[in-house]
Amino acid sequence: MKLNTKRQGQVLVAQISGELDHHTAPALAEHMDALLQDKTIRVLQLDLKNLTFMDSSGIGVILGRYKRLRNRGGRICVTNENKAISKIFQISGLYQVVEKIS
Amino acid sequence: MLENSMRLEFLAISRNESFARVAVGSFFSQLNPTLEELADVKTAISEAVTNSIVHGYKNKGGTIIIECVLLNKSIAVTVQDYGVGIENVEQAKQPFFTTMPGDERSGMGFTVMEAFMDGLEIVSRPGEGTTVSMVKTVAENEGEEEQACKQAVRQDNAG
Repeated sequence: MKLNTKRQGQVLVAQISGELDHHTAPALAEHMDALLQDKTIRVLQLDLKNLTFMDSSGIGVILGRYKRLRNRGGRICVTNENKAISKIFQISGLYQVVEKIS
Repeated sequence: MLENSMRLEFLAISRNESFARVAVGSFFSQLNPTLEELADVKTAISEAVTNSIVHGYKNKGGTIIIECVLLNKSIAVTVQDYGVGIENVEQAKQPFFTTMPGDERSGMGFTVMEAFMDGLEIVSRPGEGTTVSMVKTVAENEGEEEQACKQAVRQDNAG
């Protein structure tokens, strides 16, 4: 699992590649939290184009980052998720708190 | 009629979650599933194995046994551990319920298994362990690979 990031004004675009499961989730959470220390980031945009797998451990990581951002008025959006990952977002209700952008 | 079975035993460590997904996915592929059916099974396996590692063995290690049986168009899988077991299975199955909220566990493991597979049964004895049983039946349609091959042959014949 790899994380590549790019800053676009108030938006941090985070491209997550590979597989997001219980094994890879902690490293992702840690890396994201370090980046999110920068309080000028208001939006975390997850680009999941190269994410080949995600299970409910990924839901936990995203929800954790959502709570942190929400506490300072920020938000998360997601883009380019594949069908399988979209299904996980759907049944977990993650689309209620994470905005999908096409 | 396809009949096949396998048994896999491995250490309950997180790096084996991916291995378990691939192993079961590969075995399941004999039924020519669609990409979606394959993803469903791999995700459900990932949830069950993760539960054994995180909850069954509290991340302290142990052994997980996966058994698969293929019969006609169905796979029946069991994921078994000898961990602490589940006190209240009905409670554990509730969406978002987790005994480890501080650890960013979403509490969605069983919900995902139930949604992605065609059947889910949990048998557990506190202090002895847990066995999760799941079934997936592939649809009558041919798999995507077969469809793609037939499409290619049609295009060849047309040109």
